[in-house]
Amino acid sequence: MKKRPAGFLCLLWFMVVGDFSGAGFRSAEALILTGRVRELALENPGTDTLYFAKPAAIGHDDENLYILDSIDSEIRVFSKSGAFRYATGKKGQGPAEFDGPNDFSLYGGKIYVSDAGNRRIQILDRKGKYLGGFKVTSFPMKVLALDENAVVVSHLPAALPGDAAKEENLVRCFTPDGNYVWEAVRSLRDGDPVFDTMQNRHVLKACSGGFYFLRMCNDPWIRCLDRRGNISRTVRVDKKYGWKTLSVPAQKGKKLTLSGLFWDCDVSGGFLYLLVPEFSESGDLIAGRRLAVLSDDGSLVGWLDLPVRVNKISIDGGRIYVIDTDYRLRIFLAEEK
Amino acid sequence: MKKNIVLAAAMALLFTAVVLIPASLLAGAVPECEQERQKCRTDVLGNEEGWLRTMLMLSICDIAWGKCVLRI
Repeated sequence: MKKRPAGFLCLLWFMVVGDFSGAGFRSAEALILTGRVRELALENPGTDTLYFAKPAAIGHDDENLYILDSIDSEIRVFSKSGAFRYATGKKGQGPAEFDGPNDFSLYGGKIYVSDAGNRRIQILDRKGKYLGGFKVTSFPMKVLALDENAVVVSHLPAALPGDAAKEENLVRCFTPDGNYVWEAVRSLRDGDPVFDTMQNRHVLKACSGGFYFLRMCNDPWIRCLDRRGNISRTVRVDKKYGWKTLSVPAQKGKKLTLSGLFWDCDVSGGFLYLLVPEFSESGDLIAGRRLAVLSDDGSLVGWLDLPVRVNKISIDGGRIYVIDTDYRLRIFLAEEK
Repeated sequence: MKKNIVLAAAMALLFTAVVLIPASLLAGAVPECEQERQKCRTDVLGNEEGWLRTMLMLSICDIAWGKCVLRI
């Protein structure tokens, strides 16, 4: 792929996010070269609503910030400056009730919730009113609404211990009333169910004309799939990106390697933000505090350093919404030079 | 002759009890074990623990699945 000059990338960055209201920076270059952020003071910082029992997903639309808690089985909605607005959902099996929800997607005024424990996808309006949904055969892992008529649902490999090696597709597309449309993305298979679960962890993110499928480790390829499930583009993560390699025990005394790409990621303004995992003192790979910014051709554009380790990120131009490792909502702004 | 018939009937009953009934129970219970395993794995992956610790907990899900199947 043809390499773009750095100046062009900076200009592109400025065009995309440089005029972002409230972001507080003037140029792309400043954002990329300083690599620093400052924390936004939240309204009512002492309130319990900013803390979560088990935050599973975070996302935003033009007006609000949404955080899904899988233990409280609710979605808390905040203003973009962090003021709590309302919460919706409760534990249960009925409409607009959840059991261990683990992901959501925002599209066209609707929230698509992966209601894992009830093995279904629920569709709600932004206030939490039940609009519909459908059952899925295996526990959903991620959900992404591609458009009004297509909902992509992914899951983990279902292979049981002792099963013969078999690959399976990890992503399935359904209509909003639950009709199966297509499936795609073969699982990586090494024969060890635990290792295979780890190396097939992934995220789904919307991209132009479809969605990205990114594995958290052992896969340097970022795949963009179209709305029919065909791979429309594949780019390799920049070799300059610092992979974190972990040697892990596997079945029959073997040692296998997990090459960690990211802890969480998001797409904003045509750029991919990877939350880089870091090593703990005990040698485990844990949530990190550094964001790598990649352009859509996979090349590394720059870094952003957060003052705390974070589990979840949602990027909104120069504004960075995070859930830190204390399960607390925090908001950072990319700092001016 | 009568003794043979009674013996054959007893054998048939024993065969049903030992082989067929557990098989039918297994058919119903294994999907339950699988479901529990999937739920366990989903919970573990949502815990945001380090990767080594996560693998350990995933192994525990598999051990629990094995116990669930063998208990039948």
